[in-house]
Amino acid sequence: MPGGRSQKDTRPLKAKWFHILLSLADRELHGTAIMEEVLQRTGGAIRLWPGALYGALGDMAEKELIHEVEPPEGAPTEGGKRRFYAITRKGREALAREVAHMEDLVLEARAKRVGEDLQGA
Amino acid sequence: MRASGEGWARRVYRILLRAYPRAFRDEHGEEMEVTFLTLLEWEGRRRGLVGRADAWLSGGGDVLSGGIRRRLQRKAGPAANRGPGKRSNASKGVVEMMGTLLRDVRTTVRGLYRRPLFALTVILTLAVGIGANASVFTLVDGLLITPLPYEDPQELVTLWEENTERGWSGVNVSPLNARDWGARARTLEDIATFYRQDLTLTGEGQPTLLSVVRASSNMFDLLGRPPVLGRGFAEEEMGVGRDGVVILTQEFWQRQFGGDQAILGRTIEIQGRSRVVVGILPARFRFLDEEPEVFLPLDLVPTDHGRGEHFLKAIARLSAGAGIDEARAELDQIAIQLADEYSDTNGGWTVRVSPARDDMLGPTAKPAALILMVAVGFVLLMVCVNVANLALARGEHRTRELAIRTALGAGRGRMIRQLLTESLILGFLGGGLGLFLANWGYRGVVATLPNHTSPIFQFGLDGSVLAFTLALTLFSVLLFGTVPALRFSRFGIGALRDGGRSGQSSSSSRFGNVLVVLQTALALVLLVGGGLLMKRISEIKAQDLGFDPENTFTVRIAPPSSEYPEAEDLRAFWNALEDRVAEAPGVLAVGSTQAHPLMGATWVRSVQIVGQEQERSTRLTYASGGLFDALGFRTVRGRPLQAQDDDAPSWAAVVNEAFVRSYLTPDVDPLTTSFGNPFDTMPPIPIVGVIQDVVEQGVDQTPEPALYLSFSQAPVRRRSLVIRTIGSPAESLSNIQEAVWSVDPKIPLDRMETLRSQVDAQVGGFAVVANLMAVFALLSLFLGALGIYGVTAYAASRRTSEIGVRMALGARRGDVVRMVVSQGGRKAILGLGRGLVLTFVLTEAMGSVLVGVETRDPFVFLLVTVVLALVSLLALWIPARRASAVGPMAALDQE
Repeated sequence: MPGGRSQKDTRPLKAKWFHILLSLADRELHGTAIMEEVLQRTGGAIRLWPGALYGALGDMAEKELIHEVEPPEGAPTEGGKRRFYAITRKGREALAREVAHMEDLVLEARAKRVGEDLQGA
Repeated sequence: MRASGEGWARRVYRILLRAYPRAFRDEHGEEMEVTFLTLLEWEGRRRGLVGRADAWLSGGGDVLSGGIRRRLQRKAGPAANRGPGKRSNASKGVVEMMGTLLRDVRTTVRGLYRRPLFALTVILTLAVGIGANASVFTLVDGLLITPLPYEDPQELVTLWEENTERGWSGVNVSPLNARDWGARARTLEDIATFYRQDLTLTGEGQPTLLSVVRASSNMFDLLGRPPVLGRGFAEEEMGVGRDGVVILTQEFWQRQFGGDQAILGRTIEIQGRSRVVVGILPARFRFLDEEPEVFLPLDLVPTDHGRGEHFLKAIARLSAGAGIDEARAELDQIAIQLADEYSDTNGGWTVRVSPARDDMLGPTAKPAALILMVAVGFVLLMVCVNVANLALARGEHRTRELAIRTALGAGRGRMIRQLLTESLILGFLGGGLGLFLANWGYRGVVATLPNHTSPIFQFGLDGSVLAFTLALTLFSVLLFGTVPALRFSRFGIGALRDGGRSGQSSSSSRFGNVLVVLQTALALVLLVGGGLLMKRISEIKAQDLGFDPENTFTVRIAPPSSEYPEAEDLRAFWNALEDRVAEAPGVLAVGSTQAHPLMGATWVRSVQIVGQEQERSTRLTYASGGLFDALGFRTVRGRPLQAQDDDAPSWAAVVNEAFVRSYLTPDVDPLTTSFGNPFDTMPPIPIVGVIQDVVEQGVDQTPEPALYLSFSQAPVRRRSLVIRTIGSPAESLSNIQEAVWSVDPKIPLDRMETLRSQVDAQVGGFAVVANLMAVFALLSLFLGALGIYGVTAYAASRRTSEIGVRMALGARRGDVVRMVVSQGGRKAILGLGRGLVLTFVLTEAMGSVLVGVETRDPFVFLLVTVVLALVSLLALWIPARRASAVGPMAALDQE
């Protein structure tokens, strides 16, 4: 179990945090937009409910994985006040580490030929 | 349709968001709302109604758990979040717990889904109980808990003068006394004074009457609510001729000037005089129990008036650290000093200090709210008893299921948790639905509040109502969930052997018996309480008011002093007005008075009856000659005031029966009595007639001695015009307006109301309490019957085989019915007995706070007991009959 590792920086990211960081990897977004992107990406498997979403954004900002930024010029705000977030250097590192970890897992799975036995069926 | 659906969802979600601390809500609330609505719509598109329901369940859970976590974090302080090790341990525990909880929830929901009728009954019953409690609590919260909208409102007190020697209380304050209190009292930080006035707004289109408060310069600082734009009043602006400034309330500013900021520094014309706008008050600023539109500086300095002139209202702020008792003691001392120094004006006068809130609430609101709270609490108790009963009955059906789970190794703790989870889920669903109902319920309750309830009291489902509902839900769960949980978790595997009937029957029937007794007792209390109040209401409604409120309406009219400066002008104006209106088509009678009945105005004067030593205090009403006809006063002796009394100072007085009863001995003929004229130069005023008592002050108050004088002795400017019409007043309205305006086209007509509506509004205060009590009483009757029915039906069903045996052995149906009914009936009678004792105690308490309620009314007690006994009998008879209808073979087949 990866969770059993004691070193802090190798602990896997929570799925929600991972998806939030991934959404912010290439652009700055506000909360609702993050939620929508995650919804599209996971086909509805991960629904970021507002309490969890804004709780996570706050915690992540506290851990300096993301930070709040001025809304980009001409950004759609649906009429209200929207807080935009950007990924930080620390956030990128955490995301990259997680992706590398996932790649390792995929490689290991390939080595074990996971799924090949199902393809014929 | 969609838009309104979204509006609805938005409102509900906004209520849920209140689980979060305010700061968080302010920061993220709006975005959370948008995020949720987006998800809701997405789910709706994807999975239709199921998706929406799922979104509400998940989203609702998310916002509630998130909010509670936030609040806990905040309570624990930021330091608690810092320790990373601690936090991760805790959160691991939480995750595990959540896992078990989720499993329990899933099992429970599946179980409930299989028995939708049970779940629905429980949820609906709870919703009614909790909803009613939340609605009443909203009222209690608004009236008694929510702080007044001022800085440190608990420090605010109102000051009144009292004269115990003359039996006067709640008298306005004289300016010099207020000044001296302020200077001498160390327990008071400051005293502000004001009085209310109605002036005409001129120069802005049609003249309209303005509700004005004339306030001392320190008023807004004392309340801690200074103007948001501009400034407050300065000390040098107090006094006649210096008061050429005005401060607007936000509402008036928006309505009259569209919120134009440039109004500051401009002048508006009030009562023909230009005044500079110097300030705008904050939005939703409330001024005690007044509803002023603008504030003007006090047009006086204390030295302008004598100490005997009592006309100001006073509000004060206690000094830091000073309690209200200390302030009372100190002001008593100061009053004694002043009485020494100015014995001719201040002898016998003391000061009454009361918390500002109590003063605005009046004497009945607090006890009435508490009575309702107790009553509705009883309803919830009955609901819980019923639900516990249902859960017990259902639990016994489940004995096998639970026994199998025990056999498979589920521990007792796990079982209790499972059963409690079920209660919790039902409780929260019921509570949620209850809150939803309360959203309408409280509006209904508030709408029926008497319209003289101060607008300072605001009602809504705020944080404290939500917290109360949550606590109430948990409390209910504890009440109805614990007994079944403890009972059923005890079942051993033995239950599998005999179909689950071993052991627990006797204890469950014991519990059933307790339920019947409890239900009956509680229902009796509520029914008697409701009955007593309803009876009082019908008495109030049926009472003789002394005037005829049908087809009559009143309107307040104040001819401006700029146009009608002298007494002669006023007299001419009012005479012309009455004459002209009397000629209008559809008008039967017209009169005027400075204050019509139920207007809430008190003019109390002391008079000297010729031949008596003592001065007598009496209500004083000035009336034009037409008033007695217009109001339908009934003359008992002599004659009423007449039109001829209006003109030449004919000096005639009319008194009411209470006056004669209180102040004249039976051997004295009132018509030979007269009053000493206050102006010694004039001859005494003879009493020319006695009228039947008129309810002037309030429908629940006994009429006081009253004296009626003609306007010829005091040409009062501002009066009520009272008009009796032939048909409905609405039909003659335009004719009357025309008639008024034919005398002066610039006269505003203020507060045009039918007398009937004023009477109804007065009854309203009592009616709210009584009607709600009646609703709760009926609810309790229904719940009681349901409970008794449930217990009996269940007990009978458990005895099916026994009944079968009895019938096989030759018992007749009637015997079986009699047996079942008599066993339940004993419990019901026991309940009635206990209920009567409880009722005696509680109605006594009710009578001590709601004046006029006859708490020992044998008729109500008897009626209610009989009704309850009959309903109980019916609730016993139906299941008994059903049980007896089972044939002996069918009953024995069950074995």
